[in-house]
Amino acid sequence: MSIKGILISTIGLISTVGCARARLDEKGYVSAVISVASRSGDSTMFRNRMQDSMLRGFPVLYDWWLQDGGKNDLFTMPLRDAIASRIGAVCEDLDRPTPELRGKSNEELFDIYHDLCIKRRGIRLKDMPDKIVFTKFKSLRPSVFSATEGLSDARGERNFYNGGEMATLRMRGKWAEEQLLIRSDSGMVRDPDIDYGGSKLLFAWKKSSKDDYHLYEMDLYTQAIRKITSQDGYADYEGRYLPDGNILFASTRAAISTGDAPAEVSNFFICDGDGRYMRRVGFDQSHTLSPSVMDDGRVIYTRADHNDRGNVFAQPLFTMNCDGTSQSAYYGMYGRFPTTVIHSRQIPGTERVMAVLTGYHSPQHGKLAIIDVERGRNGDEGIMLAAPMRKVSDTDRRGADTYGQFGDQFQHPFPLDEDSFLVSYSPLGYDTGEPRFGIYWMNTDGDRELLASDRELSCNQPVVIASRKKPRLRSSRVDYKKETGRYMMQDIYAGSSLKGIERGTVKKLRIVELIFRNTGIGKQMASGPGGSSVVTTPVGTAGASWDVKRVLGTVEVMADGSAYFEVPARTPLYFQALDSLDRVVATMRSWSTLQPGEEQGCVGCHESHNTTPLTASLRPVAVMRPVDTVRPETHLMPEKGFSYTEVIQPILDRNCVRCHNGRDNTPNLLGTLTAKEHSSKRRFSESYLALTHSRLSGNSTGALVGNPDHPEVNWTGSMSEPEVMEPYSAGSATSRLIRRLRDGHGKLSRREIATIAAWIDLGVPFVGNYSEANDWNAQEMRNWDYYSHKRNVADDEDKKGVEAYVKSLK
Amino acid sequence: MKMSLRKIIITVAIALLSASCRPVGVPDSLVTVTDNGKETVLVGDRESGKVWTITRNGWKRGSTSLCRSVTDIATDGKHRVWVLGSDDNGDCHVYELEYPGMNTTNRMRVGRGASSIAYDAGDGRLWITCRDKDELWEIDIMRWSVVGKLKTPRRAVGITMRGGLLYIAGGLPECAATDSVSSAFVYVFDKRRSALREKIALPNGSTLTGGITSDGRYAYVTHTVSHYNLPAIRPEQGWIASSALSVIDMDSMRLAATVLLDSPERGVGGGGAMTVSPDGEELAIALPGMGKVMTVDLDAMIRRIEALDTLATADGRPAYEDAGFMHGIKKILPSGGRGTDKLLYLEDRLLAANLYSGDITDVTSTPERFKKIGRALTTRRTGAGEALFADAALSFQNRLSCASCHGRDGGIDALTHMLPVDTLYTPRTTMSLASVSAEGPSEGAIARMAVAEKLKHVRKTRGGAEPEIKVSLEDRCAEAIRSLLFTEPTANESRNLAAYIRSLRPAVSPYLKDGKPSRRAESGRRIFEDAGCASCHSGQTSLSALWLNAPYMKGSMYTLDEVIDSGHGTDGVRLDSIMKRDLKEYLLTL
Repeated sequence: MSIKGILISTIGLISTVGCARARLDEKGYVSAVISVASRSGDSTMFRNRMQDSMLRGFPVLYDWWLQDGGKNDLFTMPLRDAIASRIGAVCEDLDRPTPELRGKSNEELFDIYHDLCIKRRGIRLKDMPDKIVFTKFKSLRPSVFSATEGLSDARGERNFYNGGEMATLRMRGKWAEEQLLIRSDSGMVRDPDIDYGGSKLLFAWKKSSKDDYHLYEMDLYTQAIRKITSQDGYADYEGRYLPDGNILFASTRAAISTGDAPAEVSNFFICDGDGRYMRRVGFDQSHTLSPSVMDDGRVIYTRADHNDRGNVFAQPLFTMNCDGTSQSAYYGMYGRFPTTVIHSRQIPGTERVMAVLTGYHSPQHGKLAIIDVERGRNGDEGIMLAAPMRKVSDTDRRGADTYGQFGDQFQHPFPLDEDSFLVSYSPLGYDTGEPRFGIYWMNTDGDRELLASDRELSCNQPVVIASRKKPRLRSSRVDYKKETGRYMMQDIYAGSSLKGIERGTVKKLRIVELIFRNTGIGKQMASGPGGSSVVTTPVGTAGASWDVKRVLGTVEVMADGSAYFEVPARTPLYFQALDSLDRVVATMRSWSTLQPGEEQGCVGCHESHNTTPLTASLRPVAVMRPVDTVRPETHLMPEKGFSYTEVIQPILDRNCVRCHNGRDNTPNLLGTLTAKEHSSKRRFSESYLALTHSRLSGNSTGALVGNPDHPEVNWTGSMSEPEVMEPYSAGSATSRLIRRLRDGHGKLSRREIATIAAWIDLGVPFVGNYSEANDWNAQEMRNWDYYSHKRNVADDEDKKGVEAYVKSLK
Repeated sequence: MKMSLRKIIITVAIALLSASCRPVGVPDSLVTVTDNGKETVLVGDRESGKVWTITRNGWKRGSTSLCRSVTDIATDGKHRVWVLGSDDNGDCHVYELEYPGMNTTNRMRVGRGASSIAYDAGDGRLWITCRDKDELWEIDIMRWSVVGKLKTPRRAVGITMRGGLLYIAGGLPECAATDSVSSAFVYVFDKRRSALREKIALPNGSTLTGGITSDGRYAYVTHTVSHYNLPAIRPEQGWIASSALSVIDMDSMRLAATVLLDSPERGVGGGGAMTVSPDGEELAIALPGMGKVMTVDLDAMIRRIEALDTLATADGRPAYEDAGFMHGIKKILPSGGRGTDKLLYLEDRLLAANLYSGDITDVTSTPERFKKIGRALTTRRTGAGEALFADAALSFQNRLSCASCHGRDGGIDALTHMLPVDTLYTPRTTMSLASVSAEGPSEGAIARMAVAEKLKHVRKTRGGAEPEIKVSLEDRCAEAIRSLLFTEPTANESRNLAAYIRSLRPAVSPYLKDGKPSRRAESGRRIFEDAGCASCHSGQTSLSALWLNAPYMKGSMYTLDEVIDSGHGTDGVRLDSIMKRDLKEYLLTL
C-alpha cells in the first residue's frame, strides 16, 4: 500500500469513511478483477456471469469500475490500461491532473483509483438526505399491469414472489448504514410513503400467499405498526398521504377484470388517515397506478387507457385533484411513444416530472425520462431521456411493446432537486438475467453512487424520510349528497378531433357509459394498427368494442359548439359527436368520470392542454340556458347495456329475414345463436357474424375475428391506432350498409336505420351484459358467479363508505 | 452569566422595539441619477411620502419628505428630479427637485389620480397620466406650466417614449363587457402635435395592465387575458384569466404579438412593471403576485414572434393562447420579498422594489437585500390583508389573486365574470370593494355563494324552510378564495383580507368641485328623485363610484348615456336632452 493509502486508512480509523472502506474489501476485489481479466478469451455468457458475481460481491467497487469505463474493457485490453483510463476519468470528474502512474503495480494503481473514487463520492453525496426508506423484493413482473397485486383469489395470472424487506438507509458521511424495519419471508412489503410531518411511514404488506396487500402505517419513532385497511380478497397498495389528511391508494376493490386477461384491475380509492370512509374515486377500465402528489396538490398517475383503441400503446400520465375531481390527461395520451409512462414524480421546484418509460408487456422498469409538458403533451415533444440527458431517437419514437428493455434499467426515481435524484437502478440490465436493482444517488448526467444493494433481491422504491411542505389545499366542491356532475364545453370545433369539420355539423353529443367485466372467460385475439391483443369475456367478435356499453342518451350541442349538461357522477362516460343524421362525426376513445357535484370545463375535443380557452369568442350559448339533461335514446335501450340480440335483431327480423334467410340471399340475417368455436365462449347470431364479416381466425385461439375495415360495415376497431383519428374515419358514416338502407333498401324506418348506425358507431357490440349468450361450462359459470358476487359486495362496501362519509360531515 | 443573559434580553428587546417603531415603508418607484459619474438610486415611498437616496452600495444617503404618498419619479438622469405625489385630500402634485441637494424648486397641482410621470429631454416636457379623468397632462418645465391635456386610455398605467411618440397603456376595456371584443388599449400620441396617432387594441379579454416599457424597437405591456364569458369553473389552463405580455412594433405602431407568461401547469399571477437590461438583451418582468421576477431572452422571443406567420402553435391558434410559447427562453427568479413590482438594472445587478416587505432586493442570483426602506406593510393587519389581496399563492397553481379582477387597490369595478349564483352561471360584475366595505353584508354574488356554502352544513327548520343565514365580510372573503381562487382559506387569511377591505374608502368623484356637486348635478339629483330611481337605488343597493365603474347594467352598457337613453328604471318618465345631461352629471358625482 502506498504511503498515501496508509495515511488515508489511518485517518479512516477515526472516521466512518474508514470503517465503511474496510467493508469494501478492496483486496478481495482487486484479486478478483485480476483473475477475471486474465480470462479474456471466454464467452459472452461467462463474461456476463462474471460481471454479475462481481456486482454481487463488490457492489460499490465494481459499480465504480463499470461507470468509469464500461463493462467490456476488462476483457479486451490490458488491465493496467483499463485502470489507468479510469484514473484519468475520475481525475477529469474531480477537475485535477492525472497523477504519475509509471512504475506502479496494478495493486497500487487500484489504490490510487479507489482513493479518487472515494473523494468523488464525498463530493457527489454532500447534499444527500440523511435518511431514506426503501424496499427489497424480486422486481414486479412480467408486465406493467400484470396482476402484481398477487391477489389471494386471483382471477387468473397471479404474480407474487414472497420474501422481502423494508429498511432505512442512514447516511454516515459518505456511506449509508442499512437498518431493517420489516422482514417478511413469506410475504412482501412495498410502496413506502412518508407523511408530510416526516414521522409516519405508509406501506403495503402482504404477509403470505393467502393474505392480501393492505395498507399499514408505522410510527417512525416507536416503530409501532397499525393496519389501516383490511378485508380479504382485496389488495390495497400504493398508498399515498394526501395534503387533506386522507390517503389515496390503488385497490382491487372495484372488483373488475381487465379485458385483455382474466386479471384484477386496480382503481383509486380514498379513505381517511384511519382507513375510514373508504370510497372509490377512480372508475377506470383498467389499472391506475403509481400515484404521487405534486406540489400544487394534484395527484399524478398512470392510467391504462384503451376504449375503442389498441391496448398496447399509450398508457398515459393523468392528474387529478386529491378529492378525485379534474381527472385529465397529463402526458402521452396519443401515439406510440411513450408506450407506458410509470413511476412519475414531480421534480421539486420545477414543472417537470421524472418518470420511467417502459413497454406494455414489460415489467415496471425501463428508461428514465424527464417530462416537460411546457414543450408539448404527446410523443417526444416534452420528453428528454435522462442519465445521461439525450434526445429521443428515431428508434425510441417508434415505440414498442417491450420499449426500454435493453441496456441499463431504471425504476422508482425519487427526484431530490433539479439535477439529482435517488433511483432504483440496474447497470447491467438483462445482461445478467433478470435485472437486479440497487439504490443509487444519481444526477441527470448519469453520474451515480451506489447506496444499497442486496446479493439476491432488488432494492426498490427509495423515499426520503423528512418533513416537507404541504401543498396548499385545493377547495373541494364534491358533494356526495348529489348523484350527478356537470360538463361545460366551450366549443366542440376547437381542438384537433373535429379538424376540417364545418361549424354547425355537430348537433348532439351521445353519452355512453362503459360497463366493465367481472372476470375473464373465453379468449379471442384481436389485431389492428394498434397491435394485437387477447380479449377475454368478449363483447362481440374479435375487433369489436372492448367493453359493454350503455347509451345514456344525447345532449344538445349549440350552434356555437358549446354544450352544458348534467350526467351521472362516479360513472365512466365517453362522448360521441353526432351530425344531423345521427352519424358519429368523432368518437372519444377514452372516458371521463366526474365526482358528485363536480363541474368540469373543457374547451373542445382533444384541444391541447397547453392552450388557454378560446379568447376570441362570445359567451357560450349553452351556459345562458338551464343546464341540459340527457335525453334518453329510447330505441337504444338506455336502461341497460346495448345488446345486439335485443335491439338490432328485432329490426332485422321485422324487415330483412324474409329475404336474407340463410338460403336465398346473402348475408344471412337470421338471429339463430351458434357457437362456431369454443375459444370466445360466446354464441353469436348468424346475422351478427355476417354483418361484421367475421371468420374463424388462423391465430392460436382459433376464435372468430371481425373485419372493422370492411366497406359494407366498418367501425373503430378495438385495436385501432393510438393516434388521434380523423373525423368521419369509420362507422356509420362510412359504412355502405347505412347508405343502402337510407336509399330505401329494405324500407327500414329512419329510427331503425339510426339504431343500426348507433350499433356500428358503438363498435358492433354483441352482448349487453357479459353473461348474455355465453357458451360457458358449469365451472366457468361458477367462476363468473363468484366474481359477480364479489363485485356486488364491493359495490355495497363502496356505498356504505360514501354513506358513512356523508354522515361524518354532519 | 446572568448579566450576559440580561444583556441579551435587553439587546433583543431594544432591537424589537426599534424595529416595531420603525415606520412602514412601501417602495413604489425606483430610478437612478448620476452625479459626477456616481450612480445613485432614488426610491419613492408610497407610505411615508419620502424619496430615499441610496448609493450604489446600498447605503442610505438621505431622504426627503414631500407629501403624503409618492406615486412615481422621473429624472433627467443628472440634476433634476420630478416627483409625483398626493396629499391627505388625495390631491396630486408634481414636485421639481434639484439633485443632489434634493431641495424643492417647483411644485404644481395636477389632476387627481395622477399615476405616472415621464420626462422628455428633447423638448423639456413632463408627461403625467391622471387616472380619475383619464387625462394626459403636458407640462413645460421651462415655463413650469401646463401646456396641454389629452384623453388617455382608460386607467392609464404607464408611459414609454420613442422619438416624437408617446405610448400610454390603459388598464381597462373601453366598451361593454358583453361586446364580442373587450380589451384595454395602448394609445400612441404624437408629442409635437399633441394629438392621438393610434389606438392599439390588446387582444380580446386584455385588462388590468401591469406596466409598459420599451427597448426602442418594441414596446412591452403586461396584462391579463381574462375569459369573462366563460363560467368560473376552473383555474387550470387560464380558464378564468391568464397573464400575458403584449409586444408592440414601434415602427409600425401595430401589435406584433401577445404571448403568455403563464406556463401550462403554473400561472405567474399577473405581470407587473418591466425594464430592459442596459445591453438590450433581457426583459425583466416583475411578478407582484409571486414575489418573483421573470427575465426573458428578448432576442429569442422576438425571433419566435417573427416566425409566428410560419410557425403554427399546437392547434394553429394564436400565440396568446399557447402557454408553451416562452418555453426555454424565460427564467423565474425569486425576489426574496413580497409584492415585487418596480425593477431597475444597476450596472450588472437587477434590483426589485418589494411593496409589501418594504425592501429593495438584488435578484441577480440568490436574492439578497439591497436596502430596507421601512417596516414591512404586512406587520399591520390591513397591510397583511393588502399583501394577501395581491398574492397569487392563495390561488391554485398561482393563476390569480384577488387583484387579478379587482385591481391592486380593490377599486376596479364592473369586470363581468360568469359566476355560479343560485345554481346558474350568471354574468356578475366585480364590485368596487370600497363600497362593499362601506355597506356591510350585501346581496353580492360572493355573499350568496357563501350563504349556499353555509346552508350545506345547516339542517332545515321544522317547517322545511331554510334558516336565515348571515355572512360576515370574513365569510365572504373565505368564499371568494374557495370558489374563485380554488383553495381552502385559513381563518387568518380571511380575517386579514376583511380588515384590508374594511380599510378601503370609496374614491371621491373628480366631478365634484371642492367636494360639492355642480348646479347641473344638483338638478340631476332632483330628476333622479322625481323619476323614482331612488326607490331601488338606496341603502345597500345605492349607486356609488359610477364615474369609475363602467360598464353598467351587468356590463352590457359602457356609458351612462346608454343607460339613461335605454330608459332604465325611469318608469315611463320622459327625459329631454338637458335633463339627461344633468342626470348624467349627477350620476358622475356619486
